[in-house]
Amino acid sequence: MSGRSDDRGVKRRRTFDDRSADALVAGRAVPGEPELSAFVVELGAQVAPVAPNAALMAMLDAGLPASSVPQTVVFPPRPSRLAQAVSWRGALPLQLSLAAAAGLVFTVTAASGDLPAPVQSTVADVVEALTPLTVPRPAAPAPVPTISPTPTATPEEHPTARPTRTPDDDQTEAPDVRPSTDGQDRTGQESGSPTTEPRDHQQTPEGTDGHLRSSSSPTRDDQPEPSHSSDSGSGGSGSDGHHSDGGGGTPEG
Amino acid sequence: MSDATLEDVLPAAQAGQAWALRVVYDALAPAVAGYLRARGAAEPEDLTSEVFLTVFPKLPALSGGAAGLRTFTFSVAHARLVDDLRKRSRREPVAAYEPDRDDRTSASAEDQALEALQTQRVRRLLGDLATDQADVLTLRILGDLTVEQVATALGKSVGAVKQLQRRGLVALRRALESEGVPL
Repeated sequence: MSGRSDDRGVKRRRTFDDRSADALVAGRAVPGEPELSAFVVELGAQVAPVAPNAALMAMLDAGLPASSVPQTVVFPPRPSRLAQAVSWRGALPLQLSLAAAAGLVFTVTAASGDLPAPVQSTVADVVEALTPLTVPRPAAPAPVPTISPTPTATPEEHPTARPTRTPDDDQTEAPDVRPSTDGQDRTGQESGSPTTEPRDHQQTPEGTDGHLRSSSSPTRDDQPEPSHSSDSGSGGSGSDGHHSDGGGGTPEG
Repeated sequence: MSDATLEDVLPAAQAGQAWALRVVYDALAPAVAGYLRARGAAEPEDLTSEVFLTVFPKLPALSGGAAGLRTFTFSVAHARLVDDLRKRSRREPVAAYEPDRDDRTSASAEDQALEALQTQRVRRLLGDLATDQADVLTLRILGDLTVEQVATALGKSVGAVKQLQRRGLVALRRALESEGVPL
């Protein structure tokens, strides 16, 4: 008995390396481990066919419901890193995708100049500030009606800009001149010219717009004047013109 | 059934075709039931069906091929087993098992008795091990999972699984020796 217990002690101290452990659990005979090998075989005998219960039997008979199965099932290959990198958009949340689509539609609409005047001018400001693109400005807003008396100041400074800038008549005759040829003539020359047209024919709403504009105009009045010389038409000559007019007007008034 | 065969039928099973589900069930259910039985589930057959009722609806979204299917199936089986053992630990069985009242049929009374004895012995020996060790050994032996797959199924690291496997085998050898009955 003592000899056996000694043997046991020796076995207890003995451990397994990964290879012999793997061989044992795989059911392969390992020298010196007959008991463990036999136990693995006995354990393996627990594997036996079983009958499905009623619910599972119904599923095995009918298959999966169509609603839970995508229409085309393809065994999913492991995607390459390149494919994962390319498909990053798939990970974007739905809301983000919708927002991007809405933004695209909005930008396209703005580019065609179909947005309401205040929105159009805001979009134009943002787009021109963030990108090198130019978006058509809306009908020049309200400042015009309020700034009627100022024409004399600007023509001297910018003789070229003057004509485009609305003759004062615009304000008085604005309703008549709505389809104004001025605007069309100017479109060929300046991007800001279209803005004068709507400005004229939207007098009532622009009154409010004009106020909004004029409220922000103090800051703009400072900017347009230096910029007038350089880019008379680019930075939204319509609004610049008005602001310059307004700027000229207020001191004068 | 080899994983290669499972690999072949898996696309059809993911498409929900009944014949393919049957093949998958026939391939994996015996091992799942054996795992549940060896680990002491009260009703291994019913629990096996529950496992596949959980696994099959998720097949269309499964990735990893046959190995992934095997790993996923046994991870579900392990979770169900843990739930089952936990439930039974909360409430003691109301009535003891009475063979006379068991009207389930099997191949023969001798086979059943032998199986029952074998199962009892296996359960007792595995019961001498720590729970984690028994889980690793049964998943490796009955589930035919690799060390990495066991690690995934149990939510452990590969190193931890290897260590549990070594210690489990040592403990099992000790239990067999103390039992004193050669197998």
